[in-house]
Amino acid sequence: MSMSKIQDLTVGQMIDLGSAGPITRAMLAFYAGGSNDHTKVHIDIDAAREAGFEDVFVQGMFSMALLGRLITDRLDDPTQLRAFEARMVAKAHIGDVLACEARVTAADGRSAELALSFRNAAGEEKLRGQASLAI
Amino acid sequence: MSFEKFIGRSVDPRTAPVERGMLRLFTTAVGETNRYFTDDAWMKSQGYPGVMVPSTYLQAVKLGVLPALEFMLMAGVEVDIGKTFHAEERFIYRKKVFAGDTLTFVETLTDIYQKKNGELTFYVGDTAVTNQHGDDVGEVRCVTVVVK
Repeated sequence: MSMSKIQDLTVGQMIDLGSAGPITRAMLAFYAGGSNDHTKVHIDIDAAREAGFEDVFVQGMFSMALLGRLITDRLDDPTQLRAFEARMVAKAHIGDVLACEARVTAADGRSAELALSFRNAAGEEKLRGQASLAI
Repeated sequence: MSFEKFIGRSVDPRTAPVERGMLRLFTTAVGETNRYFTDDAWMKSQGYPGVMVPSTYLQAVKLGVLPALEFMLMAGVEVDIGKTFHAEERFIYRKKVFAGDTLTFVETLTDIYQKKNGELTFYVGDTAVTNQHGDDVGEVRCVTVVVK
């Protein structure tokens, strides 16, 4: 990782992966087109209201893609990311700025495991995940 | 309800190209500036065929040929869209995937389990992904939850 290389990570260390956003309607529309996810409640406010929501809300996989960006931005080479998983904990919304602090849960000088929590500015968790890194 | 009869069933293989234009729309939406994903000329100068795909992009390519609930429908699960939600996603990466590759996806319903006294039923779809050379490039796991 640019701030600390994988070989230097130690168990218990916290890494600030930075933030993404604020999330805009345009991002959700571009993401729908670029991801084959054409679910209307994410891109059409009329469809969202008809389905009982106040507004469009963020595709869970868009939040995960943002989190993936924050991780691979810190790596010398994106292929150092060997596995990546996330649980959709809550909906993210237009205007959210999502930030991640990662905790190193395993490290052996060649590989490391990160526990991830992706939260908005109010501290509400949207995704909880894990990443496996290796040199 | 017994779930055993559903487990182990696979959807027929689906094949899709990794399209540059669509990948560019994806990287624009996500705000990617990483040159591995956005700079074709630089990647070629490094000896690669072109840009590679970001960490979650396999799911996007897969979705184009394999709708999210198909592995459940194939297994005979009755799906109520209004009560069905995406719960988890997992990627395992074994080989780089580049724009211009052609990927084949085989999804298998590998597990079904319940939580909260049967209020929530989770369906696990595991997709094996291979490229045009027959190389195993990785796996995509999608967990879908149906609320009673």
